[in-house]
Amino acid sequence: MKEHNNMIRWIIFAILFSWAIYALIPTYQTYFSSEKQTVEKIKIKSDLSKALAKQERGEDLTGLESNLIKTYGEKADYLSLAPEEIEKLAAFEKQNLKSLALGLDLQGGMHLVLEIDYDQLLKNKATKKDKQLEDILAAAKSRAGSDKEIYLAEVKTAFSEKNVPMNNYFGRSGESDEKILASLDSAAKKGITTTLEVLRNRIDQFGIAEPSIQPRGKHRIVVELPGVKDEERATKLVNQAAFLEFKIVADNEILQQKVNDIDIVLKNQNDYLESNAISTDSAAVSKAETPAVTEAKTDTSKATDATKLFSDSAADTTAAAATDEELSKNNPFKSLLVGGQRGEILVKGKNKLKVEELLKNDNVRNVLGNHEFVWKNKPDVYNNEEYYEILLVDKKASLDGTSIVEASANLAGDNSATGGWEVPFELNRDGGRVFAEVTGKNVGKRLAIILDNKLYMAPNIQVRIPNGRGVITLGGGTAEEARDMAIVLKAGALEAPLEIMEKRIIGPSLGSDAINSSVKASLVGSLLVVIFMIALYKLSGVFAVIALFLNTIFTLASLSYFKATLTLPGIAGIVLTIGMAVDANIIIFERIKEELGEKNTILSALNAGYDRAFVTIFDSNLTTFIAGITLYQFGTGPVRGFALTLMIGLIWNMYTAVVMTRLLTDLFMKKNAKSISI
Amino acid sequence: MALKTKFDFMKFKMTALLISASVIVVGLLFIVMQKGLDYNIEFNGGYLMQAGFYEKVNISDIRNAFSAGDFAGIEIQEFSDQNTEKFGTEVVLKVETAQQDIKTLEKNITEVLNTKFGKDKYEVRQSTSIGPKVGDELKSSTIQAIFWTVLLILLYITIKFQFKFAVAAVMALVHDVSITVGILSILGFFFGYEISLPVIAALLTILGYSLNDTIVVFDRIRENIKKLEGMDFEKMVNTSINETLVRTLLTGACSFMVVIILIIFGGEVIRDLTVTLLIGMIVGTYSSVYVAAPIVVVWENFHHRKRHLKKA
Repeated sequence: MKEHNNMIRWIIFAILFSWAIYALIPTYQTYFSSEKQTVEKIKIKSDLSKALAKQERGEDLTGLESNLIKTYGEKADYLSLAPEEIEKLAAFEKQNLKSLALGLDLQGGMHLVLEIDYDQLLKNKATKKDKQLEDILAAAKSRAGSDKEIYLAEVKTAFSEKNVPMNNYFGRSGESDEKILASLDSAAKKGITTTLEVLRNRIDQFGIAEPSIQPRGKHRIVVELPGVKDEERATKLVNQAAFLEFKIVADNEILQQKVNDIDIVLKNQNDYLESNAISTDSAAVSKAETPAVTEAKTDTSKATDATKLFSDSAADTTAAAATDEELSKNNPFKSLLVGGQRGEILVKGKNKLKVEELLKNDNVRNVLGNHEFVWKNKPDVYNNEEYYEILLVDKKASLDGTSIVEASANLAGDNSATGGWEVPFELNRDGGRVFAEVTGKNVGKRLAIILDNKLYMAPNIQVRIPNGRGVITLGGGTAEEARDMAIVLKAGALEAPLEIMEKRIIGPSLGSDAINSSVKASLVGSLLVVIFMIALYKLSGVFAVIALFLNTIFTLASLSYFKATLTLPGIAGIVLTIGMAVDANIIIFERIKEELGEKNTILSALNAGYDRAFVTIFDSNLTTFIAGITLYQFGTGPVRGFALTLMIGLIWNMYTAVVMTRLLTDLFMKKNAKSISI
Repeated sequence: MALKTKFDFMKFKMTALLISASVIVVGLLFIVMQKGLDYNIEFNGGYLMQAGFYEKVNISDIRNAFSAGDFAGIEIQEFSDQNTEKFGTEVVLKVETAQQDIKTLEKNITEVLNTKFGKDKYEVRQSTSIGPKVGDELKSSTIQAIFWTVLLILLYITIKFQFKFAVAAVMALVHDVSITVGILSILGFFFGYEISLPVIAALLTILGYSLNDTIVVFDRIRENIKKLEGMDFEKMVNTSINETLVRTLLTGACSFMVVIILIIFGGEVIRDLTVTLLIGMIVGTYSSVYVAAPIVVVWENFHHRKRHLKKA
């Protein structure tokens, strides 16, 4: 009977053990095989060649890259990179996918917790944007705090407190608040799914091995990018809204009209405020302007005074007669503008904030009506000073980027006006049709290409473009910038903007330090435990050590099989289970020793010892397991890793410490034995 | 043969409880003195950067670089780790801030490092930015986790043992965690030790370890309640502790040994975790003998005197 039972137990063990070995083979190959060192060298070589290429292009190097060049740049065997080596690296990385993944704290990388920015989402959805809306949303935001569940409800309260119907800003006119809220809510819910998809697309194309993009709760996304070295780039890639719009540039007459109208409303407003003897911000701003204008005037070599741009307007006479102070008083807006060489309107870098502030003014918004100013993505530099171009465009986009199906990064030919990198794109059939229509209708006008509210370019539409193809020129920039832009355009825009809640970057060297030290510590620790157990319990101690070893193997195999990651707290969890496994064996052996004093035969002492000890071990492991469950349920990231390895380890502990040591004892103990090595 | 000891542990139960209580009070005093626990930025929100300079850099130069500009509350410490030969100097820069916009702060710090020391002279070994919201949530989720753990354990031990055992086990847990935290706070007072995520992981480990220890003793008491029926309860508990004493000491010694090894070889990266573990394990081993069991005895004696129950 007993023999038969043991037979079944051995068979079960054989199955479990084969499974564990099968699950761990890829892990072994990844971390311990001789191939590892070869591959590591290839990896250094490939990083080195990338860093060298970057250096050649004259781009800024990170500390990591320049150190790489300093260390290996002179060594001939690191400078050659054969194509088959790259293939080998790729194959090895593919294999890695099946092995036990290391957490970011062990292998280095970037961990981001992102949250849907409801505030911004609502601002994007609003049909009209003004100060009142901003105030209402800010009030709702501060009241809801971090609780996103009640944010929309707070928005509703904020609206009703101000007695503003929501349909002033959202949905169709006349629509009820409830209906608008419901549609905003569903937009927010949809936001997280579409955002996940867009992020997956982007990160896939970015080329990171084993990225993890998971939703957490209803409003958050956790992104883990192992091995990422250029964190700035990666952050931008994840965080960029990538909302592409095509807008028709307003005609010159409209522009002049609007600029004059803005000056008039601002002047009236300032006069009104001054007459009331109240010094307000905008009044102060317009006073402070005076020196800037003088500078702009003396700086005529590259940029001309803004007033000259509008020579046919009424401003001409004013400008000729007025002193600088009067100019800024009479033309609070225009005095901040400078004419560029190609007839574009520029704003000095230091005046950018003031102009932005002016454009936010409700009266100015009214004047602008169906038009808006957009800012150029990067400043032009004349005489060591930064100037930002602004451009008046239609408020409504003629077309947006959702229909982009293809985008790539290209080095522009020499015949191109600007040189540098460009991103050709292709629209789908529907988008192409709209594009053809828009370009056909507006031949002779300019089309502004705007990404995330920043103007990239505004080429003249010379002919109707029928095939839905276009090019965005970056005007300088780096290959990476162009490639990243192509990626975000192709992957699509983030409908709901994201806010970074938490960002952790662990450099690769820190991770390997952590592995080295914890592996070293675990090995020395295990060795001591082995000596301790064998010295205390002789042959039984050997069985206990085998059981410990199996426990570790089974735990790691389970982690690898279920695609869990091993983190530093996870290792702490394993250490705790090993501690409990040692304890389980001590409990059993001490119990057997006790029973040996009372029972007649060794077998009955063994049986009684195991039976009694099992009760104890079961209770103690189960209570600890309960702690593991709640920790897993309520804990976040690192705590969960700890809880998971702890729970898995405890389950295996029950098996290895109780069943396996008994099996081994039975195997080595002859029938009717008179003594036992304990 | 099994080692048989006959120490009268319960004789000192009141002294032991008093000692435990006073250690907890001293720890609490230190916590109050420092106006609460010294939480890491992971709980409070802020920015941390560990930078390794390839060449040796004077720490005061780095401090000077950040003395100008808007870097209020920046803490700069030298970080020494035996495992790194690659760096001349390693520093940790830390700013605790409750504002959500850490991006600017991060940019400014990087800019100062780049202009004053050169972008290619150092590497960022790790950096962490935590929004205050996340920190608050971490605190509340940790508290929630501990609350539910304690509740479920109370329930389980009540079912498998008795209610008084459950209360005693939980008291032992509270004892272990609060003494450990108290000692950490004392260490924090003298050496600037902070409550970080690894410390939390260590406290959780202690929770499990201490529980395990306590259950082993309780299990023996439960067994002896039947086996030694009629014996005085206090005496019976004493016997139970003596019977499990060898196991308690052996397991304690073995764990102690492993943790010492982890402290020596584990390096700076996991030192917070290992030091906390060491304190907790010593306290945990002690508490299974001198906190959990005495509470059960005191409870039982009180009960006994009050109601003159026959059964122990």
